[in-house]
Amino acid sequence: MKKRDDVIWEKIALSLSNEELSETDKKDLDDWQENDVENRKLHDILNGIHLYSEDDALTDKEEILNLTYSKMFSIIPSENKSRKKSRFILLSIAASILLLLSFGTYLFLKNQNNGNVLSYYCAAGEHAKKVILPDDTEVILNSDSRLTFSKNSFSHHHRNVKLDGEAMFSVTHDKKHPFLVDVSVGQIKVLGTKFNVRSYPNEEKTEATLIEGSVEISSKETKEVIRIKPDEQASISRKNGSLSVAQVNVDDFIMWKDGWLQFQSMPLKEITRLLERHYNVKITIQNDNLNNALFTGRFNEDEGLENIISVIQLYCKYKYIIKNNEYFII
Amino acid sequence: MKYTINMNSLLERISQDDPQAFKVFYEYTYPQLYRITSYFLSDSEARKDIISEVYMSLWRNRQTLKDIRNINNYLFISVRNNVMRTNNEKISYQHIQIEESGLEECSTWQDPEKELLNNELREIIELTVNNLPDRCRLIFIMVREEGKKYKDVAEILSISEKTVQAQMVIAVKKIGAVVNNYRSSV
Repeated sequence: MKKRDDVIWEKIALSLSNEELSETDKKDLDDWQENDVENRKLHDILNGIHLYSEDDALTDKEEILNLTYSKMFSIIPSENKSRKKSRFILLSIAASILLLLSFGTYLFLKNQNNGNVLSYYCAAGEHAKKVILPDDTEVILNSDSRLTFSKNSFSHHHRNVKLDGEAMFSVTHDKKHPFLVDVSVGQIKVLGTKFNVRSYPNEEKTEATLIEGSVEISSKETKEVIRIKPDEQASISRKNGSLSVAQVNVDDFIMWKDGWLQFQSMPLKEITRLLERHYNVKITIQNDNLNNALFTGRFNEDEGLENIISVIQLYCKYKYIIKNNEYFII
Repeated sequence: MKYTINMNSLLERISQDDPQAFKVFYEYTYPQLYRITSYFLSDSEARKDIISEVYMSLWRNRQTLKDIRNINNYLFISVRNNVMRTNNEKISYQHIQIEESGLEECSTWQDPEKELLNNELREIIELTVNNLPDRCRLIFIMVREEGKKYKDVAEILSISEKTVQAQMVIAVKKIGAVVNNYRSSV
């Protein structure tokens, strides 16, 4: 027999969980909170309850891994006919595990020295790289981009990462644990959403483009905070930290993940910088007049750098030479 | 060595007897597994046993790994199964502590609700949660702390969603009553 009183508690419990609330649920909760200011305060307190958990006891990690391996080695195959084959597999696995133990310990110690900082890196010249974070968030990293987080970044009260470069995020929905992306000039806060962030140290603007969901962007310098909607893009100026929002065509800003290089009235100086990063090749513009020559067009990275340079040449009218794997535009 | 984690391909490689993939999986899932195990066991020696059993049975069953949809759920179920198999006396659920309101280094937003939780109230809430019946507390932790949906909790503990909801109501009502009591007496 359900007491009438319990119904509101069901909804309160729902609001403290990751469950989706119906419109009626939300309304009932709002009414309950409106009714009495004490109710609202109670809800705030309940919402503020976060449990503290022990450290992962990293000292135990190696020990338990060894314990696990020793248990794995003691698996004895029972069928006669497959015994020979299984033993061979077991031995070769054992050998590689032994090698791994020593190498693994080295890696483990190396990570420790960095204060348990983990980073995923896509080097200049590398193809876009997909990475999955501990909370199942998918990140696609562009060339010359680094995603960093530490042991504590994914503690279960928040999710924090740091980005240098460009990445597209598909963040797992979790309203209890906001996902924060730290870029040097500001921060992007999301609840569950798809967005693209571009923050290269040698570019003036840091841009966040929203594909789906909702994000909040803040500037470290001016302390401004803006919330943007899908198809909007927020930029933070590296010079003075000012925040601005514009409507954009989102596809233009995420094409890179499929290997497309899109230039929209882009000055040659910026184009070459992008190509340098993408192909890990040095490109120097020797004629200063060409720096601001504008070009509009789209290429796929598979076309190859030289092809791209020669096509742009037709429009921007320059000459180029290649010496020791370096490009010179004259 | 390229350190790119993709859980699906990792599980695929483990199912193909790749020990390196197993090691990477271990490194990656160890923190959450340790945490999950601590919800069930307060004794650290018992925890070590359970953790290695979980990884061991994962390796033993590696052929079926590709079908796993949610790794966190899988780990929960595995811990629960292994805990049930051991001597029941060893099961004493870990006492929880409530975090002091502290700001994460990277965060620039402050949670206003944290100001309402003073030390005394925190301790009282801790006591209340720690004194909840074992299963009720476990459910509260799984929903609140691990962010699990009722459906997942039900699956992991082999109970109905209605039971999960009922237990949540019990937990939240109890905590709410204690908080209201404290606030009205101050």
